[in-house]
Amino acid sequence: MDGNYVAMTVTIVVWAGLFLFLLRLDRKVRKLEGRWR
Amino acid sequence: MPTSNAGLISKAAAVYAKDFRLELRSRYSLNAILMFAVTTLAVVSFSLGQSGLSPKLLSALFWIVLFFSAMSGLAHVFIREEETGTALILRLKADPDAVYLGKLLINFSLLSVMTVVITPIFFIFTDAGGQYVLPFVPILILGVVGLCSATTLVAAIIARASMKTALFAALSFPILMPLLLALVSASEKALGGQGLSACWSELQALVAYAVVMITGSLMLFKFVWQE
Amino acid sequence: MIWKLLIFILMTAVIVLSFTTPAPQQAIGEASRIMYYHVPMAWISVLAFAMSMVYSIQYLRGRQLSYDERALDAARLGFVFCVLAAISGSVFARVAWGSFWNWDPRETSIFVLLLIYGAYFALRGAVEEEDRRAALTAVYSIFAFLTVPFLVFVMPRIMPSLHPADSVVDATISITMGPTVGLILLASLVLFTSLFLWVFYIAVRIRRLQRSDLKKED
Repeated sequence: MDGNYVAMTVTIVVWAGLFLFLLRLDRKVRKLEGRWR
Repeated sequence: MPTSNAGLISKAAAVYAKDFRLELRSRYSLNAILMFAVTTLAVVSFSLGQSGLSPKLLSALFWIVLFFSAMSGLAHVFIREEETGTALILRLKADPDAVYLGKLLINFSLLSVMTVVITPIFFIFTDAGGQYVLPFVPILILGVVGLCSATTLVAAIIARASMKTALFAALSFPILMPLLLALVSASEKALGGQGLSACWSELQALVAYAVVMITGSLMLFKFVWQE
Repeated sequence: MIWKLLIFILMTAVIVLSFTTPAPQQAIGEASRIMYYHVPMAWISVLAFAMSMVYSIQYLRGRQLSYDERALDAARLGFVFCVLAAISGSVFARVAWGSFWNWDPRETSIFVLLLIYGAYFALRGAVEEEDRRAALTAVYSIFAFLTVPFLVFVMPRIMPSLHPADSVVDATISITMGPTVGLILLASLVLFTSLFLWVFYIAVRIRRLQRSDLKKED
């Protein structure tokens, strides 16, 4: 179970990082589109 | 060049005849293909010897030789047109479908001649067993048909790009994979003495492949051919 | 927007579940959990290629370069997923069956798909002129896609007993598909697809911005 816990944490961290990156990218594009508040 | 009222077949025949005459005079593509095939076969046979070459190995070797020989010669039909400048005239005057069919037939002829020459040599060099030639023939025919049906369109594509020869192999190989896999599998069975009945699913796949490739090529060719 | 948050939450849930529920294939053990990630990635590499092909068809019909751009963007994304699928599959093969590569039908298909993507990019690099490049790569994309049905449906029938791999893969998908496993896998598939479409949509918007930029310069 330990190994699984580590793998799970790593995966979540990677996923969170990817998601935040995409969110930032999305915001940059929306700024350029003029749709960002 | 027949008028546009002439049938597709006669127009394709005209394209074929022109290339046939050219090839007869220079034998450029034929020489390339034959020399490549004979050389590769000789190298392989020399290195491996005759001792116990399994049907699997024989089958793989045969189709490797055929595949690379095809790669060395089948793109010429279009590259030559582009390089000698005759492509423009062909584009203006001929029906794309006819051009494709004519080129397909030329490639088929080239590959057939090569196969007819190479197969006996193969059986002699490797001592594969003459009794297996007969079941091997239908597989051969389907293989040749399959090879040119897939590669003729690709040849037309790369003729209009740079780095032609390298690109030809890179583009052709993934498309040829299913064909080669079926051919090697069927040949292995045929050369192993299992007869054609054991290759039924492969044969069906080979026929289907040829039909799909030729139909697809016919529909797509005009987009490659016309500016 | 809400759906982005939803994607984040649901994906995190899937990740947690993929590690906390019992392993999908007991015979292979914990490594079979990769399935929850590997299968969606493989699915998307095919989906992306199919999308690229559809945009290629649309380009050949209307000759609008925007379609060509989308075909390229879909292909680029699909390539990334294809590489990931091949790597995850290879790792799984090593752990489960002993060797990194077996040429079993599905491994072969993903390999061929990788080659097709590679060939597509090679062709794009070899043609300078925009319109000709778009036309030639569109034709190749469509033509190459014609072989996919052969790889997916015909090949497994021709190479059945060469490797235990495929029967195990089928067994994994059909037999061990208990409700929990099936549900998590389905959720993973849906979420990966949503992720892919989101990124693709960002790419589309970037292209749009580039084009309007060019127009302003005129």
